[in-house]
Amino acid sequence: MALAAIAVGQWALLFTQGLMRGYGDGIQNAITGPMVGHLQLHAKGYEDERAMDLVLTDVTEGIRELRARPGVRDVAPRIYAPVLIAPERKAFMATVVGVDLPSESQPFGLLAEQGAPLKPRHVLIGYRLARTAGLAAGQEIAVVGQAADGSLANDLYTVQGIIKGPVDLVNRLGVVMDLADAQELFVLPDQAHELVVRMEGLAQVAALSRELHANCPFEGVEIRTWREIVPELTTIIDLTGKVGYFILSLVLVAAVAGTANTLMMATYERMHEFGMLLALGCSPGRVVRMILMEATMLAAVGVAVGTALGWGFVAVTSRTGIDMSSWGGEHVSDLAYAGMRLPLLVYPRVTVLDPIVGLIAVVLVSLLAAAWPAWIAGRLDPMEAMRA
Amino acid sequence: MKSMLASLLVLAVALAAPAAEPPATLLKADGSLDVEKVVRHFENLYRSDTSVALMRLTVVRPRRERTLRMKSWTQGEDRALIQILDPPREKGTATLKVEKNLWNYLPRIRRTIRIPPSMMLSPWMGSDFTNDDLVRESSYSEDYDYELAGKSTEPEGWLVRFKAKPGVVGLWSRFDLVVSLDGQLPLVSNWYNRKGKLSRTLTWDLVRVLDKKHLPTRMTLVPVDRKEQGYKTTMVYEAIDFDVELPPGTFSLSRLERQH
Repeated sequence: MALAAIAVGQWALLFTQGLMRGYGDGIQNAITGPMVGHLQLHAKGYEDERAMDLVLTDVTEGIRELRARPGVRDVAPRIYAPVLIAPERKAFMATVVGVDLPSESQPFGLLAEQGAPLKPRHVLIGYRLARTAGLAAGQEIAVVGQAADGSLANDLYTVQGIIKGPVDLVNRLGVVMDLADAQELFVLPDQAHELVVRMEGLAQVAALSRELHANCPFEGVEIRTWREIVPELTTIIDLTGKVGYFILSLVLVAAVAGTANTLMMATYERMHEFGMLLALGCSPGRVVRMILMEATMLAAVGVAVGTALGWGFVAVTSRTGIDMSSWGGEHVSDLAYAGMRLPLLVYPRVTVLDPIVGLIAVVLVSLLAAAWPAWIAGRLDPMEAMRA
Repeated sequence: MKSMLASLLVLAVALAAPAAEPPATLLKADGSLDVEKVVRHFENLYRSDTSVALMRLTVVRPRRERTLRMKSWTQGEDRALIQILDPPREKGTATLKVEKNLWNYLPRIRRTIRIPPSMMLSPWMGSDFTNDDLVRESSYSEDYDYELAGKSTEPEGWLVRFKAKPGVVGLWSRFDLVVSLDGQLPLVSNWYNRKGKLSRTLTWDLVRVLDKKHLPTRMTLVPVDRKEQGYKTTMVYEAIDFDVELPPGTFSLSRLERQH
């Protein structure tokens, strides 16, 4: 009984920890991956005003300098512009996203896994926009917007493909084109609205942010980390960590109840034997140690079985992923927040520390639960115990 | 009131009409403004005939200023064609309005694009006017209850209050219009959004004689929440001809797409 309770508890702990961590990872990747990156640079005021002419200038040189900083994996310049696109007379609202093709084609880039490289004067269309506007590859579309100098930007482009990516903005409104094309269309020579910095690791983000605040290749620039850009989502990530502790406390309750019960029963049932042992000259301390040892063994075996089950489960699902969208109907896969599609295919992940935390906690609690019967056994009067 | 840019486009027509007729007084016997007459005056004027005008549109933004020269053809309140003459990069770009529909012609790519309803509140030609301003069809008496609120001191004139009737869909909950003491010229109007907040101000000034009529030739539109940042759009009439015979098909897509 107790063994089963502990095993199931440990399994549940590993599974939920894994699921939560996997979910946190998913959100983390959704944030720091394609859309937001680890750090972003904008011209001062751009985030509020979103004016076409609030740009970072001389970006080629600035990017070169940023890429040379320690810990920086890549820097991706982007241009955003609200436009109308028209395959024929009928026009649709869209957003041009001008991107640096080599940067965005890397893993975690906007165009990762998008196949053939984008040709000049060609665009990729978000699948939802394509559906609305009835677009297919090979079609020619007019793109009309306002250039940075206030003039009317308009040109024709060929649809190279339809994309379905991790970024909701792109799926819903995106007209993705080469940065050079966007710079020409919107009169933004060597300029960009946004630089997305991707780091080697999360640990280096704060350091680079501090360093850039002190010394940045761009003037009049706003530097924000991913935590500052989407604080709501970082809260979710932090929360998923805490949910693990909640589950842990449930496991402990199960362990306490199960272990305490079993040990109590086992001890009372064997009062006779303990009396005999004591009568044969066994010291009370030894009896206490024996009972405690039993409790520890029970806990350890329970945890081992639970860990094996939990680990196995996570190992399997971390490869296949758990598709949470299948629980929520067809359109849940479009679920998005802050312009990002939230991940619904979760890959659970556990760390070596997870079962150890469970082990230590369960053993401690089992010992605590065994203390009461052990204490009684230690104080038994051998004569009375044998008579019982 | 008619939408602002539509009013703007036909303003000259509107204001010219009183001069065309015997200058009927818009004042009551006691000297106060006959608001019914004034409103009808403006309304009927929109249904007046044709005009051809040369205009200068200046869009002021925090870090730049841009001027477009354009030519417009209007007929009644439903039809208008506006074509950009200058700067060269945008020469030939044109907007055609027929009733509630709006098309832009882009000569560079030789395409005509119909502005979708979802873009109606977006800027027209990058100005503070919206596409909606060009096409909205509402009239004073249909969409608004109005009353004479008394005299205005700054600027000096009559203050007429317009309040959107219940059930009328639109951007504005009300607007105040100040007309000149004789009721003939609009001076300034303040527009309040659906939350009752002052949202934009339209001023008419620089009264000149064009085609023998007295007209305020400059309209200035200031979006109130961006006033501090320096946002402003002015439209100046350089020349205008009224009751011009327009060839049939002036307001057609084929004409729009032809090189003017």
